[in-house]
Amino acid sequence: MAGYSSGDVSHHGTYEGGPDKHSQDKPEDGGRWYFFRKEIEDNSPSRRDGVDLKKEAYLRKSYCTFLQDLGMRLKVPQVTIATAIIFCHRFFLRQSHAKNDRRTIATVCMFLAGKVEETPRPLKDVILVSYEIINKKDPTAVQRIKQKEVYEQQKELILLGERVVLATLGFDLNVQHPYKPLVEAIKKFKVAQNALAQVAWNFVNDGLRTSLCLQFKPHHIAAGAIFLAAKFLKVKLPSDGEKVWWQEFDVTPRQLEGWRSSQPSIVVHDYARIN
Amino acid sequence: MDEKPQRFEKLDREGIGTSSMSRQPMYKYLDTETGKRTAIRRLLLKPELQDSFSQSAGLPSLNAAQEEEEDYYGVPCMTIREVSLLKVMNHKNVARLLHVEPDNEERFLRLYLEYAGVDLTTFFKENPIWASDPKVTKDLLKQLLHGVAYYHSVDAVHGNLRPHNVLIDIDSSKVNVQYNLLITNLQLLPDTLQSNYKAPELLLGSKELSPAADMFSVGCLFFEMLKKKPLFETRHDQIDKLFRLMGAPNEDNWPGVTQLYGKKLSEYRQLKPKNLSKTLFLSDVEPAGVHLLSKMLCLNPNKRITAADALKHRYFADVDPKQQPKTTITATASSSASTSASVNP
Repeated sequence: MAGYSSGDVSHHGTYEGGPDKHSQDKPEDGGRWYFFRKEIEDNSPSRRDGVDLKKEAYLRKSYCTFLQDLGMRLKVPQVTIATAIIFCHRFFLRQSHAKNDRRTIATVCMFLAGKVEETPRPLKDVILVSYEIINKKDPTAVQRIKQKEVYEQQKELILLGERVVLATLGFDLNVQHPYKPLVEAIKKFKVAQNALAQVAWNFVNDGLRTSLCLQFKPHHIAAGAIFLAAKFLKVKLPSDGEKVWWQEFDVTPRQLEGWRSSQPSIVVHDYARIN
Repeated sequence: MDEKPQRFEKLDREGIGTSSMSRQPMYKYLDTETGKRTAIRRLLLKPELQDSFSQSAGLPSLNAAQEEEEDYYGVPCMTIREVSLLKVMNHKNVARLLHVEPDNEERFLRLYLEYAGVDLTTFFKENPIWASDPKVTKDLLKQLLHGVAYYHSVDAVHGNLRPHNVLIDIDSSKVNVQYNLLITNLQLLPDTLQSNYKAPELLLGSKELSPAADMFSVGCLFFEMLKKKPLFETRHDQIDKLFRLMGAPNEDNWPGVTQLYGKKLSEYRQLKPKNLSKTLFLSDVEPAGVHLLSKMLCLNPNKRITAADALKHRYFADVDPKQQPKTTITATASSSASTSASVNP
């Protein structure tokens, strides 16, 4: 296919590789972006290039931390950061860490997420801030990126990266997050609203940094987060009356339990430690 | 260079106008994967082309963000937002996006949009008898409103509703002939140069495309379905004609209008609203239809009827829901929980 060509990227807009699609969802659900955990872990392009599971998990965490930092410095809303993180996760489902620098790709994803979520940041700001974070330990970096040559080179890299990311994601840029269904559901509860919202919200944010959002749809993650938060806070959620709470999320208790066991236990521990 | 298998076959005999970008004739293509007909819409990949494009297409800059695009660089926001929305849109009255690819020089993005049947104007010309059946008109308007309501339900606006972008597919294989209407969005000349489907607030200088502005265009199309001719024939005196028909906007019927567009309005101050039925020769149209039309052509965008409300209008009260093609609109169409969704064990 003519068009997007770059040394690193061997696949284009109509990419068919990557983990196999298991879901029978229609495209409008973004169904092609959800996979079983095993598929994600066994078939990732990085794995084929010799990046092992542990290393990839580290890289994933690393670009998430980077994006959170970048987003906060650029003063974009949390939703934009979340979108950038999802773009990045999806990119590395189809492309290898061995061939793509994660921080360059993450910078591109933030630039794109800004435009998609209607909170655009000028390319120049994105480049300067990102360069600063990448070269945190180098005090001369701040001055260096202000040189025209260095800046122009970085700009070309990001603009090329934008085409590559767009092609890899196949322009599926409309990302839904668990935040909205989460808040709407909790509003209806009569007990412990604030505490539940806060704890569940944190679970969602933690889940964002794992491959969970490649396995479950936003409303399922929201349901799982509420389920976990209620357990954590020892709050009993309404389960009588006309409707049991989880029915709104189109999940079953069995699925919730399954979700719970796939949630890395570290998340719960982290949360317990912080509080 | 071109290595991709030819998924799209050009249908040479089926021209559909002239592209506003390349000024080349536009054709339909056959999608060999789905068997569907498609037409191409092109979106910019590079912002520096924006100015020349807007001028050549006679389009106003769509919003402030676009004007500042030069500062942002990269693929324009509008292109990104439009493609990402089209990708998730799924409604029987909205043309689906079948495929996206960049052109060889990476200047444009080609969107392959579903194309079926003929456009509204051609439909009138080729099927004068069907086109003058009030039942058909009602059915078509209803489908158009369903499509537009869907756009608005996913926080999108169409912004370019014209006869060329409304496609009618006739299925005469059944006992009752079925008409399927499809909203698409293709840039064509010379119609793009005309603004005679534009809402008054846009004509007065507002740059904000809104659901209400779409509804004004629907009103114009409704009239055209009734009378088989455009409500406003030419662009230059559209505002004049509109005010002569609907009366001049003032603080009573459109609070805040003087502050927004004061100077441009002074010459129309004396105009009073006319009787639509008489002035537009709609005596053969049922009164409910004329009433709905007046709600769509309402000058004040804040008071103009919405697509969802228009569907509940009494004009459609006598439509037998069983005979209608099922079109469901849900407010969360893009994110709604699908019952077929599978969750990992």
